[in-house]
Amino acid sequence: MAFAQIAIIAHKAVPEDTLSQALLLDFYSGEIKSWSNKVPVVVFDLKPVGETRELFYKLLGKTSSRMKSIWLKKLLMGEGEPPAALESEEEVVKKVAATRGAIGYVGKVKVTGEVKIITVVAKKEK
Amino acid sequence: MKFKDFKLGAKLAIGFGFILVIMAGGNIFSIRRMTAIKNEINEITANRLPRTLAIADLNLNIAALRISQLQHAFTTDPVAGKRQRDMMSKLIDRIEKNKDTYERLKNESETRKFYSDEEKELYAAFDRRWEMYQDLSFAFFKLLDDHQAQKAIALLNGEAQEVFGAFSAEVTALANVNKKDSAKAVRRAETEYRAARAITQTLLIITIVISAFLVAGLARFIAVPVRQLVHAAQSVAGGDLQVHLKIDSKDEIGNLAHSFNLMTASLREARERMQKTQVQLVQSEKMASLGQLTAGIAHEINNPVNFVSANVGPLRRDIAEVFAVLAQYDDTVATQQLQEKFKNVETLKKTLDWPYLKDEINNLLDGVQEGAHRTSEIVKGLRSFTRLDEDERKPADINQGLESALLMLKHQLKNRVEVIKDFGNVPPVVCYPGKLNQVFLNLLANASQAITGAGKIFIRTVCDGEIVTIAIKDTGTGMTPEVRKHIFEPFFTTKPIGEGTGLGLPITYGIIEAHDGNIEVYSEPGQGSEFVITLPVK
Repeated sequence: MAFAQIAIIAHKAVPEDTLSQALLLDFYSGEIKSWSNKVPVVVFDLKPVGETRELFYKLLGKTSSRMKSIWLKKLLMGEGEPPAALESEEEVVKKVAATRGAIGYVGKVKVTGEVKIITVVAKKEK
Repeated sequence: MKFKDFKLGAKLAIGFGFILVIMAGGNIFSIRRMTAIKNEINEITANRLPRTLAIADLNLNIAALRISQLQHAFTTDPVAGKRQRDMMSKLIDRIEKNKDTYERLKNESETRKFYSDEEKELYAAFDRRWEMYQDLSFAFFKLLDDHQAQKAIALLNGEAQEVFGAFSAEVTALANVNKKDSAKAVRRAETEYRAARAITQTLLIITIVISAFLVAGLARFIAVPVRQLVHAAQSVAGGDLQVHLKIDSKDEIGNLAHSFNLMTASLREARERMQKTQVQLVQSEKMASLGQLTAGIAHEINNPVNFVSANVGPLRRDIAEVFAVLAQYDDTVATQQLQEKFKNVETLKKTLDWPYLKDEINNLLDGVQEGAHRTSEIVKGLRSFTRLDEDERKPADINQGLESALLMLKHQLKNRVEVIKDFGNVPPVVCYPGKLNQVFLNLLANASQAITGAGKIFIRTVCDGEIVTIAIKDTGTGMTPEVRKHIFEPFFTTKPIGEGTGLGLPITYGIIEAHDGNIEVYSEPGQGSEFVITLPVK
């Protein structure tokens, strides 16, 4: 499974340890705006460099243009901005570690002890 | 095993099966071709056309989105702005729906292998271009939010314009690819249709030709022999038993023909046997009545002939005594001078030619005696012809019997007739040996008499286990059919009167019949005659 190569990471204080695929999509499309402890969700995306971003979108079950349509609509409805797209995976790790309620994705090899890993349950929910 | 040796059912099944296989094969082939055509047409109407429409609609919606964005950049009224943003959101929804429709159709088409790599690449390029436009849109809205409307408009008219132009071209290319592929599909469908039509027509012709051959074959294998059978049956009904069918197939008709041939053969045999029996029956009936007649005649003649035979001797003696008395008279007249008185007697004697008279009386008596003798010989013959119960049956050697008959005729044959014997290994035959010897003697004597001057007699004996065949053949004068017809009738003879009694062959016939045998004659004038006797061994 290509998904085994990527890891979903979050800020240490985030209470959740697992997320379903559908919930992960809801976080990224801006449907869910806060964690269970009311801390607002801060989503990080990657610029289209390397294959990590591509693998992540496959995990979400959306193409990047589909995700962008969702964000564009949210923006037009005044329901939120698209997530910030960072230059590198190292930066993602750094930002997630430093931001309360942050969530992002990186290659498994890039994960450090500064962040917590969230397991994605590959349960389909439609 | 040849085709003609199969049963009728098998022949029919093979013929019709062959046609059926060809027709089924042709149909399956045509149906497959037609299915291919149907699939092509289905693909065009149900997938390619809606797919192209979705892409065209997508292009229109993106164009509308760009126009809305431009309008929005110039709008300052927040209410109008809000309405425009709603409008743009709806356009994005429509674009997503267009993409949904297209991708669904694309997946369907891909599973059916109708989706081309060229279109796949074009669509991927288009999607990347669309993503670029989305990125520019984010930048555009950010500029508007930062109240930099002029820069936002510049972005839309600059970079975004270029991107839009590029993907417009890509959408057009996509539509063109579909148009081209549709045209190709139509051409393919046309080719398939022509192939199917050609195959169907060819098969139709082949089927017709094979059917024609099959019908001709059936006619040959069934109708023709049946017609022969019908003709043959009609011939048999008309009495012609010489019919023979030449049908050598091993099917039911062949069996029928074979049985028919056996039937006519046995009918033929039965009829021949019947005719033969009839001839024999008529012959023996004739002989029986002739036998009765001759027995009666023999009996009736016997008595008067006995008078003559019995009376001639005493009469001769009596006349001799009368002559002696008369001689005494003559002596007396000469010595006692009664000449004058007897002068008249002497004159009478002279007138009557007395010595001649005496001779004549003796001659007449001789004649009467000879006649009586011959008549009694005939009566003896007639008796022999009617009665065969004189001696006993016992086994006898046929070849030996022939040899003894030849011995009796030795002086007749000597230096004149050559006898050629071909005696087979013949077992003793239970018979009346004396009677059979009489038969052989009769036949050999006849053969010898038939030969004027020098000639040959062939004697042949054969035994096939139960039947002994004795054939006596001469190189004599032969017989006309008319003569041949009557030879077994009593008193029929071709010999001068007084030489043949006309009883030899009727007696022979009676003897052979008494032995349960058969006698046949083969003869032509100038070709000699052959008598063939068949006798059962027991």
